[in-house]
Amino acid sequence: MNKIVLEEIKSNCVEFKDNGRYLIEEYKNKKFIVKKGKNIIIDIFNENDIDSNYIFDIEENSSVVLNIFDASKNINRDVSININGENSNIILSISAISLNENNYNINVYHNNKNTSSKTNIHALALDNNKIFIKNNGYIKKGSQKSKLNQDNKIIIMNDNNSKIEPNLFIDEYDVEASHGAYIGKFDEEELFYLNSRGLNDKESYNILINGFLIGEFNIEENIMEKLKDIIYKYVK
Amino acid sequence: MLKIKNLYVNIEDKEILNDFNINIGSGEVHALMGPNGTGKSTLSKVILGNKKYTVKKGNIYFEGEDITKLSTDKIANKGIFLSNQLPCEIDGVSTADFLRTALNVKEDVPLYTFIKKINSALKDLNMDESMVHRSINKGFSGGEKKKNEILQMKVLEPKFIILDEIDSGLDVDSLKIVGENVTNYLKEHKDSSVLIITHYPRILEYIKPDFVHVMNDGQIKKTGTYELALEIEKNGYETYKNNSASIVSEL
Repeated sequence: MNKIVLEEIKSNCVEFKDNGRYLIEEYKNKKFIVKKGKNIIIDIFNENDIDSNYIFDIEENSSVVLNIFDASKNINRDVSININGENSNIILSISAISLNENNYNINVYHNNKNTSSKTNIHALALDNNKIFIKNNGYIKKGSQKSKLNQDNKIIIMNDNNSKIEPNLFIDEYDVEASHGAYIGKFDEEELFYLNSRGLNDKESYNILINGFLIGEFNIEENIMEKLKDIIYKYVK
Repeated sequence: MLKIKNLYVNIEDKEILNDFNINIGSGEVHALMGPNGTGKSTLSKVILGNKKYTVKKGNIYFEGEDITKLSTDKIANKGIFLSNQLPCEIDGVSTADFLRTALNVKEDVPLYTFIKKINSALKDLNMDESMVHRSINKGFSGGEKKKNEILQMKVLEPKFIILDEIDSGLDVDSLKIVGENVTNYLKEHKDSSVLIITHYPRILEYIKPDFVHVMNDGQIKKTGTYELALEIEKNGYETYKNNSASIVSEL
């Protein structure tokens, strides 16, 4: 695992020239360039209230997994992904616990042929807290055979004050694009299923919340345990 | 082991169970058959204390204790297991993870023992090891979901098992595997009892019932032996649909 502390980098731009896994300690705004043919995994785990604006430019034949975890009171997070090179792909997973009001503005641009993106945004609004998600997916003209998928979900524990805007802007015919959005509580049937195996409500919610927020993260076991501790701190 | 007495159950304003009675002894296998919409699956969920249903009258006793008003987890921890007709899918939660948590609620099971137990169940059910590390039932076929239920049964080792339409969605080979696994479980756990809810007698070829009940309009209309299941296969449920009088045998 390579650690990148953005505050220590004077340049506005970070280039990924080597394959590998990177843990980013974030700071305000930055541009990231993933060079041709690279496979990288980036993890960002945040418990602060730092507004940020990140732009990712991905060159051809590259593969990016970007995992972002937020447990914040007030955050405005902008992420723009430019898939510029042919045959490149990104899996963007954002998991968030809103302790007051979190705003996400995500833009994924398919700017070349045979590119793919999968955006999973899973957020938990504790108490009556708010989350706003604006998730825009663009497939530009000339980006044939591209695939774009968005999965946006907000679980509310009480009244709903949250909103999702899932948008697709498709300017090419030979592509696949899909999106889904859900705001609501955990399914009663899921809770009953876990209860019927002997888990009480507290244990069941604990499992459901962990699964919802970090179950799909492709991260190492020790990091997973750290995130579980953070989740437990806020939802116990 | 399980006794249900004069049970009346509603969902919202609709009555589903209407003076339902059954008595299932230790080590017995009972089959509950009946046409669609007669309340068979409702019964299974009511036994497990599903909050969607309201018990208006009557009681459910397990090993002599009234469990009618207990919460679902407390009922489950007494040793009652429901294999669901339509097992739900849960994102991000693996069968192995939640099963270990469920097992540890009852007793502190060492990781090695748990792995050994789950691997043995996987082998018996001819399931791929990766399935227990995937999100619960996510992307599983109908048959795989049912096998996953039986896997949980084998790991949790309940005393009383409800198999709600375990045969639906299973191909011939999988039906045989599931049937053999339940039968072997009962050989190893001689005091455990089973309530099989089904439309068809086929599963009963593998799990031989001691008693067969025909249910309609929220109550048992007739009780017999395996031959009753064969009679139903031949003649259907028409006789029981128009029979308003209950002809339940006292067990």
